[in-house]
Amino acid sequence: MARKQEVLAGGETVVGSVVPQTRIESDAPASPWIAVARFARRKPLGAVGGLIVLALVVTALLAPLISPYDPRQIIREADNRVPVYVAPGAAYPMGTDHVGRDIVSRVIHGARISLYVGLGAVLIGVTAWFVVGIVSAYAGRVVDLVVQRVVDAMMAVPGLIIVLAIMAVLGSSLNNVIIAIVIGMLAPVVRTVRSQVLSVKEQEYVVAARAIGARSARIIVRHIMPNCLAIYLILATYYLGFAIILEASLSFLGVGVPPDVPSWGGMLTAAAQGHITKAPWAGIFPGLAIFIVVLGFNLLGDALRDVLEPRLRGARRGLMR
Amino acid sequence: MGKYAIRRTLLFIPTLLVATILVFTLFWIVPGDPALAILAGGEGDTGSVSPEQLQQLRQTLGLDRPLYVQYASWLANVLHGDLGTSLWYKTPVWHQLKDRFLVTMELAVMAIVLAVCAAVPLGVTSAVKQDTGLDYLSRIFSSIGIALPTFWLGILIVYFLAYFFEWLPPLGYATVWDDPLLNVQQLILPALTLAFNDLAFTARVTRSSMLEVMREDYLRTARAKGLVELRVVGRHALKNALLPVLTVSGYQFARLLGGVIIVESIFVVPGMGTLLIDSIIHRDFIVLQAIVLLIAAVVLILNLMIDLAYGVLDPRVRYQ
Repeated sequence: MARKQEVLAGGETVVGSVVPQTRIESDAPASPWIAVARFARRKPLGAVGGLIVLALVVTALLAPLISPYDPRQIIREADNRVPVYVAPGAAYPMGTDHVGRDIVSRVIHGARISLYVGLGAVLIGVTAWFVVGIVSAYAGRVVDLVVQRVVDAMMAVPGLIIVLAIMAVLGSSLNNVIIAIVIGMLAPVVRTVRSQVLSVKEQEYVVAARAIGARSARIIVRHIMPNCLAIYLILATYYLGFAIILEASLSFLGVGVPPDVPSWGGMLTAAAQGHITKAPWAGIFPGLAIFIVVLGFNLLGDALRDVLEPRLRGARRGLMR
Repeated sequence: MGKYAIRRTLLFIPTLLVATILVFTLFWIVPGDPALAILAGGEGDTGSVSPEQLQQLRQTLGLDRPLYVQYASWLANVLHGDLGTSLWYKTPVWHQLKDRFLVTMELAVMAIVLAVCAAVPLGVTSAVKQDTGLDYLSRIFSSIGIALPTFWLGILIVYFLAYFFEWLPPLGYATVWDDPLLNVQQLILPALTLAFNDLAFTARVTRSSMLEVMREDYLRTARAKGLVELRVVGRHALKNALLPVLTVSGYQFARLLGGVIIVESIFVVPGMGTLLIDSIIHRDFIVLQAIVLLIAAVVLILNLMIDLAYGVLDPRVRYQ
């Protein structure tokens, strides 16, 4: 993001920049650490994104150890009072919510929900639609035509509305949220992967493989898939952020996870019902968590895209919220 | 042009048909039986449902007929403008929808106009002043805009207005015909909230499209023959750079309609979004179906119009 003109492996340049290939980077980095350090130097904002993502993962893993209270527990103080909407202070760093739960503990545990939904939706969704996109582009003809009409039709409905409709049918639960988001990401993922495969398919090595009599399955697995791995990685990064924001939206609207589950989106519902003026902290911290985490995934995704697959610039337009 | 228009329109029909099939099947992926799900309510309490009730509802919904017959009769009704009868309100869906549809469209159009009006100058400035402080600032702004969840932004706007100006958005709703001023007062905040996210996207597209055009030969020619920079950027570059912006704005509008639901529920706007949430809570699948179908149709028609306009503006696409 910081620098516009990046020279790519293939010698192509980003949107119109006319720089000759000046820097040839060795293909085999000495160690993964050096590769990470090089990435961080080239893409400082991407590195910031990576740190945010790392912080999310660590928080999610250590949640029970670092959170002061049980996120679902309604606190009773020594004099048996329930601390409803106590402002942030020494006892409760982010204050308490409308029923007397500790917000910091809920935000920390919320990291688990977000990461669970995000990883679940991406591992299932991006993987499955990745395969569909490849098959659609490779098979062409009727298969492609049918898949493309479905994609077109689904592109016409906002992602959030698809996901809401699926939730209405399935009923609210954590795993149903994942299923709904997976269906919601069908159209944009298939479309992006398909266009990538269409160009890979015409490459000489694919034509050569076909010429020596390799079967389609072999060509797809050995030649096309490896050349689409970068795009898989980039899509996975973006869609983690996308899934997290969708889960938060669903829970915010009251059709996502059940209310006692500490979801960042669900924590904001009360704030939107006019409580924000009474207890701003209850509306600010969970939203801030969503914002920072999604920003982290987006920055990381932008940097990965610039480094690995600059032709995709603008592909994120397809994302819906 | 005629040929292109016909080809593009012919592509639109199967897509719309597929959309109706998808919307119709949505009803059918209900685990078990839609009738049972409706009677059991949101909690899935199937114990209290009597077989007679179930049988009766199946008959009223026509669930006892083969699937393709159901689809055909549903489609025929839709084409005649009959979207069905709400399961919860027991009134024709169109009655529920028509006013709310207009409210939602007004909100969405307001938002996209606000977004485009701000995003195009922002994107152009960013491209013209590439790699300067101004460019970085506007790019940081758009990164933030994309990551900001709409619902959180809405909440924050309400809070800061209440805190600093002790002003709360007026509740209730007046149509633009009854009270134009109040109508704008009610819709301006939700529209701004929606526009913010959209603005970030559109500014990005404008910037990259503008950067691409700025390197074209005809721009060098324009400069070489001594045109003022403002005219070079305004007439020669912007005109061409705006074409991709127009293309994405169709899908942007679709995205925006998703955001409308959230914003309507924060600012209590009586549009389709609040009805959609209601219909999910009451498991009113008929209303739900109608809303999804209506939105899909609006977006598809809009995209068709944009593509046709594109054919007029850029003759190259006609020959692809």
